[in-house]
Amino acid sequence: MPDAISPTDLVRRSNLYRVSTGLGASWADVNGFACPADYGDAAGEASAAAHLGIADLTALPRAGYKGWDMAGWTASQGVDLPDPNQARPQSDGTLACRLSGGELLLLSDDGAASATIDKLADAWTMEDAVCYPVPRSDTNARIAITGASVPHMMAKMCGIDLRAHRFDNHRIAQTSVARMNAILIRNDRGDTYALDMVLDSASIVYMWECLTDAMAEFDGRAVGLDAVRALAG
Amino acid sequence: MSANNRLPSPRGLLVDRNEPVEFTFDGKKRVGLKGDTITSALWADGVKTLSRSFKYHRPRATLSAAGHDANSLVQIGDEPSVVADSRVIEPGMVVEAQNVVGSLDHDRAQMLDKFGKFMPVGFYYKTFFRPKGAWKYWEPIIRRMAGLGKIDLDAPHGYFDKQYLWADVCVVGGGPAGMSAALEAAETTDDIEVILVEENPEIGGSLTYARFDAEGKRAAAERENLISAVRAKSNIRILEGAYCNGWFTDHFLPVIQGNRMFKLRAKAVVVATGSYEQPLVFRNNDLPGVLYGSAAQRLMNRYGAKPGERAVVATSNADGYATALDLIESGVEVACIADLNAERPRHDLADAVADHGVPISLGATVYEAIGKPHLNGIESARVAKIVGEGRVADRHDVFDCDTIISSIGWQPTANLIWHAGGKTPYNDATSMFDIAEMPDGMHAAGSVAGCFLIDTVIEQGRAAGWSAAKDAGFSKGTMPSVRNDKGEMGQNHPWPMFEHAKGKDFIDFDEDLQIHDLNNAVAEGYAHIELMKRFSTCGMGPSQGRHSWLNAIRLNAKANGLSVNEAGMTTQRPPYTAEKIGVLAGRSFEPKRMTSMHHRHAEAGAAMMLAGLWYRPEVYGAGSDRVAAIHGEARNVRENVGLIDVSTLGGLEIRGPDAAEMMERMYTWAYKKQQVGRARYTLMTDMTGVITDDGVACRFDDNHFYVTATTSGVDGVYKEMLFWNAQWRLKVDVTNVTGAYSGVNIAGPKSREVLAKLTDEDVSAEGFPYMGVRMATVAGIPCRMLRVGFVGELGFEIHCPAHSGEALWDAIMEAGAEHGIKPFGVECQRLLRLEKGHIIVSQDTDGLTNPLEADMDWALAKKRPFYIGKRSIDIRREHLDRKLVGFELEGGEAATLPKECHLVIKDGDIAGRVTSCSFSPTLGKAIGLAYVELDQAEPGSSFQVRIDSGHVSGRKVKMDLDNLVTCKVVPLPFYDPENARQEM
Amino acid sequence: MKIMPCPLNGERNISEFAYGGEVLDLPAPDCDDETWIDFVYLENNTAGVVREWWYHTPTAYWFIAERDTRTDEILKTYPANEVFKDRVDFAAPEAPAAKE
Repeated sequence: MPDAISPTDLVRRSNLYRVSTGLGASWADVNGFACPADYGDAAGEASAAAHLGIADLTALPRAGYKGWDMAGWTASQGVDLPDPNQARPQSDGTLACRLSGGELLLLSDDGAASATIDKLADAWTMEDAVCYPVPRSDTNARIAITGASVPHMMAKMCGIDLRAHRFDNHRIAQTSVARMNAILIRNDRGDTYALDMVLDSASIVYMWECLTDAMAEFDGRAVGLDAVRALAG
Repeated sequence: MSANNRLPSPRGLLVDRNEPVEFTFDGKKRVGLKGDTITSALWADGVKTLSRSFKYHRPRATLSAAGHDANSLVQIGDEPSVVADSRVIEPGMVVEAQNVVGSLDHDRAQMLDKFGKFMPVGFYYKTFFRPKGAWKYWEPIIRRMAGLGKIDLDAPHGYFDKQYLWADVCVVGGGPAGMSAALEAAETTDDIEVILVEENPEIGGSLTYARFDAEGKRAAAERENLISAVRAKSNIRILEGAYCNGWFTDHFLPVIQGNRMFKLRAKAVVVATGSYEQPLVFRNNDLPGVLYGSAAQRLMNRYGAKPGERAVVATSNADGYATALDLIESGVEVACIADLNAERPRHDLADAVADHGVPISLGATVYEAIGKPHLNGIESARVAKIVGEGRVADRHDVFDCDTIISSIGWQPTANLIWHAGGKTPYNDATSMFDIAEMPDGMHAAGSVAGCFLIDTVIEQGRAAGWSAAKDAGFSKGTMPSVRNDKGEMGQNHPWPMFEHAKGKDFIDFDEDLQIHDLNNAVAEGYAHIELMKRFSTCGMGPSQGRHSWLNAIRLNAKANGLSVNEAGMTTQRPPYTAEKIGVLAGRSFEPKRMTSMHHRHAEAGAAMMLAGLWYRPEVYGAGSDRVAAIHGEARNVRENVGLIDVSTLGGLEIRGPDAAEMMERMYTWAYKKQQVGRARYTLMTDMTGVITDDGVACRFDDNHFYVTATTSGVDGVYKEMLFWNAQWRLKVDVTNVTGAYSGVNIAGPKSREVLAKLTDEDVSAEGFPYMGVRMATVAGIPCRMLRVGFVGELGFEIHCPAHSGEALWDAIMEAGAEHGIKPFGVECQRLLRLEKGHIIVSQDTDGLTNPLEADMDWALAKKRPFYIGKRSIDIRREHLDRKLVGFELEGGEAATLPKECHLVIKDGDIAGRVTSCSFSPTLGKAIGLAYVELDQAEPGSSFQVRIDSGHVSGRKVKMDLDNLVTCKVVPLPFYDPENARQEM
Repeated sequence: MKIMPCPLNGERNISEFAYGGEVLDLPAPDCDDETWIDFVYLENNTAGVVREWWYHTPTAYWFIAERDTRTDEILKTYPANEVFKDRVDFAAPEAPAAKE
């Protein structure tokens, strides 16, 4: 077992790291970025993840491309593009989230590696560009919200009907959550309902507080990356 | 005094006789049953009087037993104006009467009742306005007398929140019509989602208290049948104890349940909200013991509370007879039925009452109640024959009684229909409002739609549920048929008002308004219905006209010689009933943004301030002497090196073959010839030529500009760029990267030394000149370095990926430690930039400032055909009337400082204003910026500023035109005019 | 709360949107002063169907809505490029604005 790491050992840190430390997080090094792996209660986190858990996945890789011919360029690079406001998993597990005709957001899977993200980064050049990289890793934070109670809890913060039968897996809602703009992507883990919330990185502490408040009546709790990974089996 | 007026089962549907609940009312211990409301518990315990009336302090008891009057408003702890008719008692609850001087039983203000004739309608408007200033004296006294309930300013903030809900069909009202509608809608398909909203703790509506047949069996049978069917449907969600308080566009319904407001979006709505029973108006119709028929039935059948011992029933419809039967079966003697109609009704309810030997007086009414000595109850009722509209014969019969029941008509609870724009004209044949036009996607059923026969009510509910489901996209079969007879004929008496020479014939119980008050309002010229309402305040009390408005309109129409439809209705708006501010506020989300370095500032003792949504360090470690701390930070920048967090600055990427073209359209200056690797000032104006933002543009590539914008302006700049390029279709992409970059500005003569320790980049004056920009690695972090500064010293702005911000901050602080680096805050930065004469957009500019006024002609492209605002600026060039100038004050540190927005005074008139002013420790004098008229703007000339008294220490100065300080116009910048320091 | 059908995001609460004014033609940069001032300061305030700019804030998306100002009914919405199909240039001071 490797030595325990502290988020300040690494250059890249989620703005939430003090809160996570306060909740008892143990940290994993995800590509030089500290991510809460667990909160020391594997059984409790596993059960919460199935009914209501929130996990700071800001450390996982993200990328974005935006421009008048994003579709043409990313398709030429082998990305299997969905329609706007839909997400589509790629063969390497990367989730391609189409935010509009000309904008793509890429999220790595919970394994934290994305060949697609790496490939596009290598391929893109300013010369003759028809779309441009968007620094999604730093613009945004990412919170996974998992479990059956998620839609009811989210209804306290957001005006979109996110219930499972009204909001299909891999649908995207770009909307206002607790009065902040956010991107909500339904991204079930195994059979468990899950949302990935991609939000302003400077607001993650605020959003975490709102989520913590809203999930109290459903007995939700913070869970680590390990618990989210375990959902997929 | 305590009594047990509790009736045996099956009356008392909602109470649990095995669970007594103790509480206190007006300081005395009381006992009710689980399920009782405050009103029903007290009534069964022998207490009728709940409050004192608003104006005359007359004892008041429940009238409707449904909260349709202000009589039953009480205080519970710090919660004022609780509706006792509907609030269920809890163990230990402490209930107090409202609007009482002294105690409820012995209200010292009751003498006001005797002065009633000296307090005519409009009394306050007419009496307390003269002499000038009199209102100031009277207002607190009147307010103390008049308020309802006590506000506790120290009450803890309760927890309230909101939740969205979605339904295909929302049914408002859980009575027979609503339950039938919900069932029909739910039966169309399993997929349909139906929400049924019921105000009372349980669904059932009139089936829980009303009587539809002589045997008294029908209500219970329908109730059991419908409730069990509704509860069995998995696709009906029932919200009980929840009220829908309004209708908003596209069927958006606020549904309040406890401390939560549901924001319910429905595709279609069924309004099955029932109706309000209306009062019979006669002298002393407000005495405790005067009840609507439905109120007596609610007390008996829902709570098992016996209304009284001996009753007189005045009625014009079947409901009065049904109530009489309930009374008789509950052991209440019915002394007489006064039927306002001349003919004997033809229904079996009347026959059954007659079979009990109750005398029925046809064409007669109760026209006066005789009260007990303190008016806290009834001694007898006077009944006389009706001889004309609102008139009775002189001869009358007297019946001893403690209860007077009236059932003379109903007013539809059509509030949601009105909110939605539905039309409800008055029908002279039925004397009630008909529903004539329903808004799209809204259907009505039950008594709100003028339907009073139980069979028809259920069928109408079915039809409404079917139609709503169809509107929501769920169609099945054909619409259920509805029989024609709605039973509305004869429900409402056309004129249930009998004015008495001695008055106290109340139309509006909340506001203590009598018949002559409304007639007087019209006679005094407040004839229009809207004017009469506001002058008399009729319908403006807590019950919002629920019991008063129908009669008030009839009176107004008659007084004006109009039909009721010609008199018209006042506009009804949400909310339908009182709601707490806490419910409206909800969880009160207040977004906040924190930079990645936020906690380092807190650890360094920073006082934080808000800039838009961002938290920024204002000043570090200020302790007791804020100014000294700011000056200390400033000195360290000027003499040494300081570090400021500039992460909140906006950042935009402008990329594409047309990037420079886009820049030249959005900003006032020239960018096509800007060299790669250089930065240039940006100034943005709007179409009117007014300054909206500024920043710097860094050219990293021919096709790539990285542009900064102000903290609070960037979202608007981004939106504006997208707006214009949606029309121009340039080959350019604009991306807001504000959150992606953290940033610091390291400034001061030693900044280069510090930075050199952290990067391999050549940061020498030659290698990295002023206004140069570089992509570089600093402390191992990929950064954008800008040799720009706002503070007028050698300085570097370093932007790094946001998640590395804290590491960058730590690395620079560590590298700078040996050079005495210190963080500096926003206040220090504002002072330093003022010394350099830099403006802050929206502090030194306002909603009208153009670049010419701000002396920024140098930043305007002259030859270009277009940039946003160019044409307006060209026009304004000929019409300048003010200019922003720098000024200084005599007196050094002791100078009296004008504040921002203090006025420039010229010949006694306003000539401009101060926008920034501060004492400069660097220069040893007070400096500032101000708008002045053009003839005051030349350096060397002077102008005067009027200051307020707060700025002259130890001396109280009156706010007048004499309090002027003289300012001298000086050229800008104040500090280092050759810019040698920032370019070294 | 009114519902706005957004061409990109579907039906959303109107609180997610900002109004951007009537869809107007930008006058030529060298038009007379009256024309320019009318464009900058005066609203048509049409009673009837107007074309308006609306902005979906969470997606930074501008689109066009046709709304009847008498009934507040939104008749249809569509992407801006259905109206603004071609690049606009401001070539020389004397040339009129290219669009329409």
